[in-house]
Amino acid sequence: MGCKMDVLMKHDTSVNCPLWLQLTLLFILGLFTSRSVTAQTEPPSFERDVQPVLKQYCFRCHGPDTQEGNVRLDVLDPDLVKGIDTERWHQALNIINLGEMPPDGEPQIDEAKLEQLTGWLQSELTKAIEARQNSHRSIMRRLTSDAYSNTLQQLLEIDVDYGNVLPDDGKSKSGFSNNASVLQATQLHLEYFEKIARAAVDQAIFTEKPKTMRYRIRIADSIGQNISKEKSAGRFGGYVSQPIDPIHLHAEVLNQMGNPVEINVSAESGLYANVLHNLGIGMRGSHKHRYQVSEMGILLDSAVPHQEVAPGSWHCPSPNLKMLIRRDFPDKGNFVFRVTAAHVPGRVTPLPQSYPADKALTTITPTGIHAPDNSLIKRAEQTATLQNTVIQNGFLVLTEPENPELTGIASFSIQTPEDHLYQMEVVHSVVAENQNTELSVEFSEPLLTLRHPLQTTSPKDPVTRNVTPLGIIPLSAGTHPCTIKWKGSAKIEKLLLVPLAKNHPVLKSHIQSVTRAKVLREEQQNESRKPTLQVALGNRTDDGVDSQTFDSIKKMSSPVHDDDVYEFYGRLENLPVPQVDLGEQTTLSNILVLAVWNGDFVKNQDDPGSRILINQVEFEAPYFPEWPPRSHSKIFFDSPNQSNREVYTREIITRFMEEAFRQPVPPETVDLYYQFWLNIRNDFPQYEQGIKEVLVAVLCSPKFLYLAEATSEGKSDIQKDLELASRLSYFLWNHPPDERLYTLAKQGSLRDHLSSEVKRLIADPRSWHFVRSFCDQWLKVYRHHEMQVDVTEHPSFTRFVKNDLAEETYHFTRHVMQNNMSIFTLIDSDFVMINQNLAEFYGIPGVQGTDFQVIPVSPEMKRGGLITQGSFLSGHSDGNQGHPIKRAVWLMERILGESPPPPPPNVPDLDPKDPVNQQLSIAQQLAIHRDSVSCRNCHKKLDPYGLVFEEYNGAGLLNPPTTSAQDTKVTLPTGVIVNGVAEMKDYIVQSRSREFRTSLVKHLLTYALGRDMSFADEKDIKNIVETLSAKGDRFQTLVETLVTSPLFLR
Amino acid sequence: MAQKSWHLDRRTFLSGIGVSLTLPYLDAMAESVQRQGNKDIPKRLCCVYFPNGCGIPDQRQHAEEHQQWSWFPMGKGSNYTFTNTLSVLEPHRENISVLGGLSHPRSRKLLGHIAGDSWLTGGDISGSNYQNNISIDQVAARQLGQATRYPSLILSVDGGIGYQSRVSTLSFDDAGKPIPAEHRHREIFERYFSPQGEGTSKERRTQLQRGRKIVDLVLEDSRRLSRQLGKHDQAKLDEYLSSLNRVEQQIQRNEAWLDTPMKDFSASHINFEVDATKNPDSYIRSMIDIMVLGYQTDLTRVMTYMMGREDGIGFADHFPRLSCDINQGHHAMSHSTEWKNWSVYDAWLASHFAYLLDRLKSVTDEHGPLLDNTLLLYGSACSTTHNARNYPLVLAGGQNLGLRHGHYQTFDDSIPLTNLFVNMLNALDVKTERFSDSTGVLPGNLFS
Repeated sequence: MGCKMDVLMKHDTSVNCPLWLQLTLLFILGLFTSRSVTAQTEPPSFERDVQPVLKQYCFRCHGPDTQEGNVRLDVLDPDLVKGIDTERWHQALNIINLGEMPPDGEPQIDEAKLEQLTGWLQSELTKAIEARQNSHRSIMRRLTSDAYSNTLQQLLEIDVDYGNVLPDDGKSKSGFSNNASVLQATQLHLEYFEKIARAAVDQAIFTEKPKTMRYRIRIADSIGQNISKEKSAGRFGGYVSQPIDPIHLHAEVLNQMGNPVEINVSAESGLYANVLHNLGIGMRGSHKHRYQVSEMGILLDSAVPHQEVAPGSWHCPSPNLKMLIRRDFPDKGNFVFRVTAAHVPGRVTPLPQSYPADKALTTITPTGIHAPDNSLIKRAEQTATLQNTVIQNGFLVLTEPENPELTGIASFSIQTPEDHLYQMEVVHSVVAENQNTELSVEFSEPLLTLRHPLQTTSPKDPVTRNVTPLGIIPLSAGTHPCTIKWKGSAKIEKLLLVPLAKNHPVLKSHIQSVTRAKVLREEQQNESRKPTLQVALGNRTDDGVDSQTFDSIKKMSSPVHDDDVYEFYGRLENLPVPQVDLGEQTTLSNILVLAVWNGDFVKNQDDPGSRILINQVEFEAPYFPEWPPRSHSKIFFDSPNQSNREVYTREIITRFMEEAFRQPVPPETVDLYYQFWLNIRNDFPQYEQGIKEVLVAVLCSPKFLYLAEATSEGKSDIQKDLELASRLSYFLWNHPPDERLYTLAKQGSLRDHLSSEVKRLIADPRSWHFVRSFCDQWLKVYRHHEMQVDVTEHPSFTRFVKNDLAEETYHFTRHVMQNNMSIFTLIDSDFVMINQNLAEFYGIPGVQGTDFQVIPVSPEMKRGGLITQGSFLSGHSDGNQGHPIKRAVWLMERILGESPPPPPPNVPDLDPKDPVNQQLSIAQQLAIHRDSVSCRNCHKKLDPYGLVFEEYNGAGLLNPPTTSAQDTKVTLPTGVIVNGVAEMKDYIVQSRSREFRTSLVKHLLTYALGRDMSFADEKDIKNIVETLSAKGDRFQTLVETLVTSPLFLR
Repeated sequence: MAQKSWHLDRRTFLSGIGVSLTLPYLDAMAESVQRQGNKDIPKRLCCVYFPNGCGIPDQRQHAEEHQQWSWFPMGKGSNYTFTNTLSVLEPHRENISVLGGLSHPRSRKLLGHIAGDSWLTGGDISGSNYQNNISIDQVAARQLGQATRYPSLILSVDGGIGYQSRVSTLSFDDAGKPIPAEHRHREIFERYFSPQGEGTSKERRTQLQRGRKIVDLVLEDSRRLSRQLGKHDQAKLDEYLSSLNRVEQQIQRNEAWLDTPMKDFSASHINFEVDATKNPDSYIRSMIDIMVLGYQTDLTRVMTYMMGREDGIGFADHFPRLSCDINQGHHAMSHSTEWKNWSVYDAWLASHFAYLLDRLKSVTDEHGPLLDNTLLLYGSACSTTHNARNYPLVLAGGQNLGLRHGHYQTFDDSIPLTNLFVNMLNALDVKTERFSDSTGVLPGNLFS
């Protein structure tokens, strides 16, 4: 530094001036120089050495008038050690060091000044890092709402999603919601914590055993025939309901042992009065040809998932069987839903019953009616029976054509010579334009109806007749009775059945269907399809059912025809149980719905898939597999001191507090809570109630609600190790530590066992919590959850597909972790983790069952790795098409660890209403946007990373190859040309491996430590990255290196 | 401070005549407000709903009927003219704004009746699951309710919650669950207005005391913890402690109310004995009288009132027969083309809203007419039959809250109704940037 000063000074002294002055100056300079020599050990000055440089080169774009990229340098606090802008200075230094600033085309800072600037920044940063080494690190953080749920669940042994009523946790700058900085504890939070705690201890502790309700309905053809009216099941009607007639049902109330109890139906009030009438079975939302009551029970074909289009979105898949319970059901507690079912041979595939007709094959001219050869013709006179109809001049005419209520009915009998497809046509009088007359033809064998409005446009005058094609139907050889019905003044002359010509497209596709049906039938004979049971609980609404699935999908593995009882467990508080309003009398109110369907999904109504037989459903709630339940006996544990209330209470409180606080609790703290109990015990008639009050207080304590992250003075090693145990288990389980972790910590040997503990924690199913939570935050899978995909545009995007797409990401990531694969597998894999449902969605053949499986993929499938997964692709779309900007930002931030420039203020979104935009894809709109000068700079850096995904639409599917705007060839800012996602993956793995590795490390650290990374962590991060790379980039290596790094251990 | 409690002989009001109270006006409430150091004027919210939408004859097909019987006024801006339907609101022209074109985007595709569930929430009940959210009144009550005896009053003609997709309440809690509405006039009166309602307050007192004891214990424990913590952790714990202090203060405020006698008032004009199945007019009026009394005594500052349920459910469906001599139920009417009938009934409904405005204007507290500090929203969740767009809406009152009335304004589909809710909450000093699916605030200068 002093050296540079000298240069400056020499320059200054070479000014032309009188000698005396020069001498004087020399003298002064002498003083100055000697001073500047001593200044070598002093820090350079911001005002003197740095600010002028910034002013000259930076403030024009990052100053008071303009803030390019949202960066303003003139107001930053130059005190890096104590100030608040250290991180911003750190970023500025990085950008300058990378040579990105000042940008090309702007005056560049000369070497000396540059060194002056960066030297100062570097030295100040070093000081700041030293200063913060000990103090800035993790601070205590509140449990996230998920962690809160998990913790309370483990503590109380009750599986209620306690946290879901809490206000949503915020997201930090880096998109993480488990950051201490965003985890607030507002008044509202605390009020909730108390409220939840009260409800939770009420659920855990019992003073008496609640009455269990247990209902069973058996289903079989006519099983209820001999049951007296007052003891029959109910019939649940209402708008488009499909109740199963009580004649096929036998409803019973069971006792604890599962035996039927006598119901006093004459009792006017009481729990079980009329309860049988309030039990029933409904099939609402099911297609009638997909289920059937038989002697053995009710047959259900494979379900077709319902579309998410209101109001039909409030249905379950078709067909589904619903056990309906009105009024008498609890709204709290565990429950079990038992379904007795068997896998039975599939039904014979039905063929499409009819097809629409394109145009009439019969023509009418002034000379007469010209029907194709072989047409079968029935004239008005050939009718078998007539109703409200007379025959006039060869026409069927209504007796009262003016009466809008009157329907004309006429029956025919048609002889068909061979099995074939026939187009049915009707010749009739000309119908006036405003007269919308519909005519229907009903066949009894096969049972089907064709319905079509009669042609209103008249052909050329003077023809007074017209012909309407009604539709195309397959008929077997033989006699087919049929009936026509119509209203109004139309006169019917002839009915024609025209056999389709050999080359007719409908005939061709029909033959294909027949062949396909045959194959399916053979498959069914092999029983290759595996039916499954899936269940949901909900409440009846006017237009459907608001429901949520619970428990897992159960495979039906018993031999065909063998009944099994499938038990599904759930917790009523977690599900949309109706809030009973006893004042409400309408027929649709207060109905609890338990739905079950065959989860071996098929895509369309013509495909029966596999078939199941259900002959009994049973609901039991609240359900207690043991009494008293674990939740109760864990708190009121067996103790020799049980008879001594005071001693026993102290034991209870100590034990509960130690588990809740995840720490040994000093006696004086226990005392505080014990004194509280002594104080309030007499406010309550029952002992347990007083205890509840203490436990509520424990659950409101910050020691329960916060993870202690601090290394404060005076903590014992054991305390520190216990904190480490918590840190570790909340990192890898999002869950409190288990017995073993506690034991290791208390023995002081946890630090020696970190490596094996990491492996054990990862292998434990609780690591699912980590995978889900980390994926949601790192990969922003929550965006997929929040996205409303346009289901009219993407009809295959059902709720089951949506759910499974998120599951794919979780299963894939967990698979990589469990099997300790390379972290680069996350970018590029030659396999996918999917189930049958997703395989059908993606169009990958040969996958069976609901389990997620490793399925090898070939390059043409264009799947493999996180960046080809639907959860990312749909989550970063506009719900219809892909969104290149969102995808680009995601790829840069999440995968490459770069921060793309933020959009400048006041830039409007691409306006979807702009008529120009309506014609263009988002990619094309962007191209226009990019052309404007002010936008070009940023978008040149950004867009290529998103445009490579253009092949994938808003649902995450590949666009058909014919779609325009498939250009996925881009030039990256580095100049590299990449064509499509496959090349992008190669590029990342080969050329950007360092960036991805660092990005993953940083994101994982951010998650593990619950705070954003900063300049002070750079060195540690670098060490982890280097170790990881040296050890071969395995996922578990990453976790282990991270956990054993000073950042995690301190 | 008034020491004398308000007394009402039970038998006196059972007779239906009521009593007139002439006790001196001593404002316990004002004092209590001062105790809390909050001298701000009370700001209030009131939302009134009618079901089944409103009559809007098609402008082209039924031009003449449109002029006469359309719910929305003719013309725009300040020069609009009421049709027969809303002409009853003419005297309040300066205190109201008619709003057209607004709706909840996520409910637009739904059957209009279901959209009723989301009128005050803007919640997403269209998707695969019914995900309703908190209603605007409950957001307001969270804050406005801190200063009053009760956070809110939730009223409806039918009471209870009904069932999902056909609720009988307008209010939904934080978790999006319906909050049961009350509908028995006398019970409401006895429960909320009588300090004699000892059962309730005793229970409440116990509940509050329990809460307070727990807070005290946790505070004590946390303070001990705080001493062991480093500087940064202390800052984090301070956030928790200050929230805990606020919880304690709120408990104290709530406890203070239990000892504060009701502000004196007269209930002589309220007829509690009306049979809704015989005289719907008086029935609704009596509820409105109770509501006005509630505001007058600062019992609460937030109320919702549902004047009937969607889809012909509940006995409000018979009101047209009973009150307007129309031989049709309300729901059936909404499906027919008897425009005049529908309009006559719409006018009847609006006359009750007009009565509410009359009363709020004439009744004053120490801050002037109640109306000037009360923001009212009147309307429905569909326009014409089952069409969940273009809700009929009237915003009224709140002169002191910065409202600039006197206009008929229309908005296009790009503005979600919840933008209005954001405006409303901010006008009530409930600082809000977003509500449900809002995208900003309403364009224009309805709110200054």
